[in-house]
Amino acid sequence: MILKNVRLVSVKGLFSGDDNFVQYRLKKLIPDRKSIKLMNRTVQLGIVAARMTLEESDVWKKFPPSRRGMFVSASPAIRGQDDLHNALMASMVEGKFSYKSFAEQGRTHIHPLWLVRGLSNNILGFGTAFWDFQGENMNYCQGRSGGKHALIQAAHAICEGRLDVALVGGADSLIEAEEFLHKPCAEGAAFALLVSSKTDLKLDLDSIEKHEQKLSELGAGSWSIAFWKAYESNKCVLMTE
Amino acid sequence: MTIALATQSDDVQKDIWEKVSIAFQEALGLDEDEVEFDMTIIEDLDAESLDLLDITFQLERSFDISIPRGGIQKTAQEGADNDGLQSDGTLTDNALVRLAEAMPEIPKEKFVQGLKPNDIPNLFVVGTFYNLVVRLLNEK
Amino acid sequence: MYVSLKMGKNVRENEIWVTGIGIACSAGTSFTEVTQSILDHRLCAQPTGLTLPVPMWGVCPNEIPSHPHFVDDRKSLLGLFAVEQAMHDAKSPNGPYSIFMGTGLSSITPAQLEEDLYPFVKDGIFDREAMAQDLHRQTAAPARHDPHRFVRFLKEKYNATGPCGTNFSACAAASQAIAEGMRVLRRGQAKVAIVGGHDSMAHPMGMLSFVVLGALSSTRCRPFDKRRDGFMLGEGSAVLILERAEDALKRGVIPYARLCGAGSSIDAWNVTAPHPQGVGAERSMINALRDSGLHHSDIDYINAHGTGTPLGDIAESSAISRVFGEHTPVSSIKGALGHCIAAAGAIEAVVCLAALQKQFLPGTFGLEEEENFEINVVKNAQLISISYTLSNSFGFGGQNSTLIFGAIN
Repeated sequence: MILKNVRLVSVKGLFSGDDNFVQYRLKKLIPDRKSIKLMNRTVQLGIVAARMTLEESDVWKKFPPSRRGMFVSASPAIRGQDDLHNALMASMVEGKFSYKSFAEQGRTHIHPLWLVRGLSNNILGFGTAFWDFQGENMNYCQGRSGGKHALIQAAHAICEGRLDVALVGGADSLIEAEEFLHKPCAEGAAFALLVSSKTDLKLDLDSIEKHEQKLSELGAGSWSIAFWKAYESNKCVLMTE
Repeated sequence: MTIALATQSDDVQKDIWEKVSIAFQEALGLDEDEVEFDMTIIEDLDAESLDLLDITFQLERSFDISIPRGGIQKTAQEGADNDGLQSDGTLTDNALVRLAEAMPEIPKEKFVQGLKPNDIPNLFVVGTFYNLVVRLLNEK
Repeated sequence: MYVSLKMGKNVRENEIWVTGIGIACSAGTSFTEVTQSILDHRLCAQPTGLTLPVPMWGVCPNEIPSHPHFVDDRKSLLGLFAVEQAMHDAKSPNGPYSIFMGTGLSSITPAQLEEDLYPFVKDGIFDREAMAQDLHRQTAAPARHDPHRFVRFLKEKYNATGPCGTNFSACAAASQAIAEGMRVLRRGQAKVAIVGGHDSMAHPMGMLSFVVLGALSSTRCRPFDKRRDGFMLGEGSAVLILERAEDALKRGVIPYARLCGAGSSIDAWNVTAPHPQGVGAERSMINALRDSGLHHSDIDYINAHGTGTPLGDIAESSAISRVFGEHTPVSSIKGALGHCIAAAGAIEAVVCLAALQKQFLPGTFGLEEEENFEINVVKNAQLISISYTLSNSFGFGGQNSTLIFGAIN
C-alpha cells in the first residue's frame, strides 16, 4: 500500500510480551499527575507510547496546533468491576433488579468518575491537551482493524491537505480479560508520527500482518503494535522520493 | 465521645487526618507531604469540581459516612441564610461572623466584607473536609 | 425534481447527496414523523416514570422490532431499524458499500443484569470465577460489549467491501462517522456510504454515569436559557445513505440534500470540560466552511450542539458569535428530544435535512428566558427560506465535529 505525500518520522511502542517491558513510572512519563486517576490502563499505555513517539523528533513542533491531529484505535474499558457488582448487589430485591434500590442504595457504590474513566477517547483527550494537537481527529473502537484504519485515515487527512502532522496509533489492555477470553492476552500501545512531505510512504501490509499473527490477543492495539514491530525489523516501510 | 473540630494541623486526630490526606493525595495525584491542613483546595491544590466529587466519594468510603452532594457548600452557606445577604448579593456582617464560627479551620481575616456566597468554596482548605468528616462522625 | 436535476449544471464534481434517511428517537420513527414533531415545536421526550434521582426521559416510545442477533442489545436494535429504513428509503442502491457508525458504551438493561450477573451471586458476593467458567457467558457477554459488533454485522449483511469503521467519539461520534463516509465517497473508495449513529444510555448505569457527573437536569433541558442546568438523556438512532450525485442521478432517486462538507477539531484543553471560549468549536465550524467552499454568510441555520449545560452553551455561543456574528439563526433540539449521545450528531443531521426540505427553522424547545449570548437563538419554529444548514456536535474529551448540508435547487 502506498500512502501519498506522507513521511513517517517515528514509531514507538511498549508491549507486555517483551522482556524489557518496563513497569513504567507513570508519574514521570505522564505530564499531569492528577490526570492519571482519570486514565484506565489502556489510556495510560497509549499516552506513554504517544509520548515516546513524539520525543523521537521535534519536527511536529514546527507546525501550528491547528495543523496537528491525532487518530487513535482503542477499546472502552469499564473498570471498577467490584464497584459495579456491589452496586448491583445492593439493587437486588428477591433476585430482581429494583430501580428503587438502585436509586437509593446501589448508586452510592459507583465512583463518580466511573464513566469518564471508561472512555476510550481519553487517549485523544489527554494526548491532544498535553501536546496541543488541535486539528482533525478520530477515535475508533473496532478491535484489531482499528489501528490500520486509523493510520490510513490519518494519511488521507495529510494527503488531502487538512493536516500537516498526525500522531496515530492504538492501545489496549486485555490481560485482565484472559480468563474470559480463554486465550493468551497481552497489553501494549504503539504510535507513529506522520508529517506531510513530497515523498510517499510504502507499507508492506503482509509483513505487518505476519507480525500481528505472532502476537497474543491485543485487541484495538494489535495492528499498531505489529506495525511498530515490523518497522523496527525494517520490514514494513519503504520511503520513496 | 465527641471528636473536637480542628483549627490548625496540630489539633487533628491522627488516624482521621491520615485518611483525609490520602483521599486528597489519590484524587489530586499528590505526595503525602504535599497535602497540608491549611492549604486552599482550589487555589493551592488546583482541584476542580470533578476532583471534589472524587474526594467526597473516597471520604464516604473510608469513614462509612454519607456526605450530601453539595453538602460542604450547604454547610458553609447555612451561615448565609436567614437574612444573611445584603441587596448587592454580598454577605452581611452577621453572616460573616456565623460563617467564621462554622469554619474554624479558615483564618478569620478571610471573612471580609464584599464576600459573596459563590466565593465561599474558594476559602475551603483541606481542614474544611477534615472538620466535615469529624462532624459527620460525631453525628453517627 | 428529478428532471430538473438532469440539467446537471447545479451538480458539482464529486458532490455528495443524501438519498436515504432512517431514524428512531423520541420524536418519531420516520423522517415524516420527526419532521412534523420538530415543526410542531413540542416536547417529544416523555418521562418514563423512573427516577435516579433525576427523571429518565427521552426513550424511543414506539416499538422497535427485535432481531435474533441483537435480542439483548437495545442500541443495535435501534441502529438496525434506522439502517433498514434508510436503505429502503434510498431504494436499495447497489454497492460497493462503506459503513461508518458512531456508537457508545454498551447498553445494560436491568433484564441483562439479572441474566448476566445475578446467577453468579453466592451469599451476596459476586463470583467472578464462576462467571469465567460458564461457557455461555464467555461468548455472550463480551460480544454484547464489543462496540464494533453492529458494524461487523452490517458489513456481513450488506457484503460491504469499502472501508468500514466504528467511531467512538462520545457525542461527536455520529457526526464524525457521517464525515468519514463523505470522504470515502469523495475518494471513490465506495459507491454508497451507510453512515450515522445509534446509542441508548437510557438504562440505570447509563443514567447514573451522567447523574454523578452532574450533567443531567433535575427538571428538563433548557438550551441557552438562564436557568439551564443540564440535559435530559435520550436514546435513538439515525442513518443517512450517501451517494455521489452522478450515481444518484443515474439511479433516478430524489435526493434530500447535499452534504457539502465537514470539519473536525479537538479542544486540546480538558477531557471533562469544554474550552471556555469554545476555541475548538470555532475551528471545527471554520474547517467545515472551508471544506464546503462556503462563506459564513451562506449559512442560513445553525443546529447547535446546545446541551443546556451551564458551561457547554457558553463555549458554543461564544464560538458561534465569533464565526457568524449575532444574526445567523441558531437553535437546539435537545430540549425537545433529549440528548442521544453517540447518535445525537446523526439525529441532528436529520433535523437539518428536515429544515431544508420543509424550509423552516427548528425552534429551541425548553428555552424560556434567554441568556444574553450575543447570538440569534430561535425560540419557536419558523417557516423561512433556507439554503444551507450547519450542525455542530461536541463530545466529551473535547472532540468537535461539524457538518454542512445544502438544499438542491
